[in-house]
Amino acid sequence: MTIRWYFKACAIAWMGGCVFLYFLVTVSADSFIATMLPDLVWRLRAAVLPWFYSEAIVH
Amino acid sequence: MMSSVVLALTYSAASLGLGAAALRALLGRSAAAALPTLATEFLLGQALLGAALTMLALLSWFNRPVVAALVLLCAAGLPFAASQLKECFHSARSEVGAQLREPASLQIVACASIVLALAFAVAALVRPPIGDAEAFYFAYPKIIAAAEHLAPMPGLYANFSTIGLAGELHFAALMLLGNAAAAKLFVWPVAIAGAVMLLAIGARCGLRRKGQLFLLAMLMTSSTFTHYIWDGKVDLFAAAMGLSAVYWILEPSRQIPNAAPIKLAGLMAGFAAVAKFSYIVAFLPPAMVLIAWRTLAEMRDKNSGRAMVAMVAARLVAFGIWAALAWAPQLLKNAALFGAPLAPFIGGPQEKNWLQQIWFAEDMTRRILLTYPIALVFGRYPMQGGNLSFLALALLPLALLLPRPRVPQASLLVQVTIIALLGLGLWMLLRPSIIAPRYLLATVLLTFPLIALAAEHAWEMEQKPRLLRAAIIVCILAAVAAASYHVVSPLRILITEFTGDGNRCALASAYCAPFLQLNTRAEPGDRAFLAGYYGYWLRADLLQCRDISEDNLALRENYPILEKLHRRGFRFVIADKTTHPKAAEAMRRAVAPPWLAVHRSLETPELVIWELTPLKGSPRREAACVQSNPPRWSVTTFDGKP
Repeated sequence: MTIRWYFKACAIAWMGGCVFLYFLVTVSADSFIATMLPDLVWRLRAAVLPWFYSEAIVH
Repeated sequence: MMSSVVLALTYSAASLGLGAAALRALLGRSAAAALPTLATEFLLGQALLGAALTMLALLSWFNRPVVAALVLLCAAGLPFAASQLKECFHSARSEVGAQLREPASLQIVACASIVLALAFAVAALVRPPIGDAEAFYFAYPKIIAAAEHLAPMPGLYANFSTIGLAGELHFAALMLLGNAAAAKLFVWPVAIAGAVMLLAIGARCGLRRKGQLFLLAMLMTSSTFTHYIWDGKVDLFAAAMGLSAVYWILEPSRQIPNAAPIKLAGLMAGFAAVAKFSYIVAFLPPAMVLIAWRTLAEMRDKNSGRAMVAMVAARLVAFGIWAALAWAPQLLKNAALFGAPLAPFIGGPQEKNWLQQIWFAEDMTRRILLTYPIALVFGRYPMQGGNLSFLALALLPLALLLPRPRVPQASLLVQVTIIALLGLGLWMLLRPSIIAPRYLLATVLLTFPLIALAAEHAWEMEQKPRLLRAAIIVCILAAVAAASYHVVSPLRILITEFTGDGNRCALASAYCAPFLQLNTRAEPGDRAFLAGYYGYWLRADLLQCRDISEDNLALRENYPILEKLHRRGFRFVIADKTTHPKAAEAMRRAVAPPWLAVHRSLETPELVIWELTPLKGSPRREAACVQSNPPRWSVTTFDGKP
């Protein structure tokens, strides 16, 4: 059985998306790399982060 | 530093010796694979050694000669592990040879994963305890080691002392015999033993060399696993023992008769549940389902329905009895300390909010549940405690390429994956607002073999152009690079340590320097009221003499706050502005009586420390901290009550 080209394309795009999303949510504003990032990345981060973060209410 | 490494290695060898002797007694000469057997021996040995240390500490025999003698005695069991050790060395040589015949890209991934695993050992050795470890998991052992005795921890965590002390007694023993660095390093062999168990489970599920390499890379890039190698907490003890239990459930009964593997699995599962109570919900039920499933799959075609049910019941009973045995030291400890063996579940301290935690409001909880499993990988929620590797999600679509097993219900991979999902589902149902993979680490890690197998299968079936292979390698290397972020600083510290420019508080939290400064000012037995959680850096006698529940009761009496603190014998008041801002504000506003000088001796962005100095005409103190039973310090009132 061979792997179809479109499966490969989707899988590779998915992997790339995962790497980029990981980078986006974990990049820290005080890291060295942060100083080199364009504004677009920070705007994307601001849009994405609320989906993965919230203040806790602990009982 | 070298002495810490030698001590941690010696202590690990002693754990291995005890476990090897115990495993020989339980299994006889086993035909099981050498490396997982060796890892199980170590994990079983450390669990038994921890139980023995708990008993010693309860009896106040937790002193250096006794603990050293116990460790040496355990090491006497090492000859029982000799054959496995020999076999492991032989197979390691052939493994290296086989790995060298793999493509260069896989060799790079192998080297990167192994270097990362070793770097975490350096991080464990060099980084001081941080976060929760400063509050409890390393502060409590510091007190036990100094007092040479086990009692509820003074301060805010007195009730929390009802939990199972899977790692804490090891930490205390290593602090007693050496130092905190040796204690912290001991988590690393536990983590490696856990990794070995997961790889062995993967091998049972059909993973070959490449798949196991991908599995190792996924584990070493999961911050919810690696973070606990170096931060000083004990979550990995439960995870490693839980994975060991699963491995022995998967062991075919024809190799070792008499249900011995099930008994061993019960013991390991019981120890895991003691080490982390959340495993009662998220690990024990799936493990029992796996036992039933395995038994039915083994007996299919050969036995009647009634015989199968009887065998399932017999194995579950054996599993339960041996799991209950693992709880015996914990029940004894709580009976002795709290008069309630089943505390914190039944009896014991009244304050049990930590058992029924709700972390988030309803709408947020709904969002978390809807975003599983993405939230486990990308979530940044407070107290989440790290993530699963993003490789778990990135490589997941490759599972679509896996061939369907001929008899799905008999496939070990299907069984392991389904019970992992069952455990995760149970957790989501019963504790929906708690998003923390560390609470069910052994369970969620069981989803990894499927993904690793999928990556291995895709790797092997892909023909030119091999773009998927390249993407898999790039993804793994990106994950390794991201995971290495935490170990860069410890490596730098290690270099400065060897060049003789060590700073004790380098890499430590903001509490280190002010508390070390306070330690130089305080006299032995001085009392410090700590309105805060993170007391680890305080001197051991100050930790023993800190505020206890009776102080809080006394503080409710109708006196002004400073007079109350003076009467209860406090010389220092420490407020953590980040966690206890109200206490800091109350102290700031308090008006000192004319007979008491109140001096703000230190202030940092996190902490304020006040020193109370009684002047002429000050009222008599009602309580003080005395060393009535050396080396233990305890708070006594002058009317004789504690």
